[in-house]
Amino acid sequence: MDLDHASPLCGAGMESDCLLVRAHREAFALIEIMAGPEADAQFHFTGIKKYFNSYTLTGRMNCVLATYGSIALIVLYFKLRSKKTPAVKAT
Amino acid sequence: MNENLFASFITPMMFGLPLVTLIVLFPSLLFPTSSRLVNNRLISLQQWMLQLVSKQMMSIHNTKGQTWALMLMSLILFIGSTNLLGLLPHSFTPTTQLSMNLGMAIPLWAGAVITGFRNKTKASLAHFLPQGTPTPLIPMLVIIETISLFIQPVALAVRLTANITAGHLLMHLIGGATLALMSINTTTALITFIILILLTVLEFAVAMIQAYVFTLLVSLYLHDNT
Repeated sequence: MDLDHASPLCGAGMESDCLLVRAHREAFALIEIMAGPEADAQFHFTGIKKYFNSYTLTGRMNCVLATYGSIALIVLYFKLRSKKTPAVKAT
Repeated sequence: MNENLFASFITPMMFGLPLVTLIVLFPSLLFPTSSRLVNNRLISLQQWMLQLVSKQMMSIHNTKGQTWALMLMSLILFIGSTNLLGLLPHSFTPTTQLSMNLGMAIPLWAGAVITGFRNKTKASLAHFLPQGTPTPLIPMLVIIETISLFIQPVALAVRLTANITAGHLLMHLIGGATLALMSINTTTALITFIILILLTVLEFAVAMIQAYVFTLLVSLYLHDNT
């Protein structure tokens, strides 16, 4: 899609992109630089922090998966525990 | 009075047949297609407007995201034209129905999220944890981000429904108040009428803004996932 020709809102003599369009592009480019995989190289973690941290992409993904796994284990534990508990007998 | 207040939101029927399909399809008649290079004024104006909106909205997307351009432009045209047509007296507005808006919001949101999980699984999962979160807050924030993800389509639909419904209801109430006040106090009725005019102008703006907001949010969800 060609989005580079002049918009009707831009006057003659201005650049082809409107100010608003350029601001959008720059804002999202900045977000991509901050959160992209190439940004992971600037962090040097050791030990368990190498795999579980809130800075690198891999670290964040592993933290999220660990959280979901923990919730699943807790739910499983309570489900199995309720099946094992015998019914109360009348005395 | 109470029954009349919500009568405009009941889906219209004629001889037992639902008219909703015809009403939903009607806005497409207002956007004719043409195979000519130089079109008439209406089509030229519509094409210029569409080009303006698509340039502003699709410029942030990469190649993959821009494949959704047709979908997003159809969405904004449909919601905008439906909302504006609903401002005609005694007309039915499909976007006041939560079922309709959920039917638009859920598939579009799910499409964007599934696209993200298929093409960028790592980044999509990492999205659930904001960068730089302190370690003790990680589990709580993951849960909060998951909830906020699943709330998105509901919020999209409810936002549109509530805005359009509330506006129509308010117009109905103030119009009724103006009529009732005419026989009691003409000056107060005139003031209420002026308020009604201003509210109608506001509703025109809300109709177009809500269409833009709905489409922009879908576009942003897509951008996060492509």
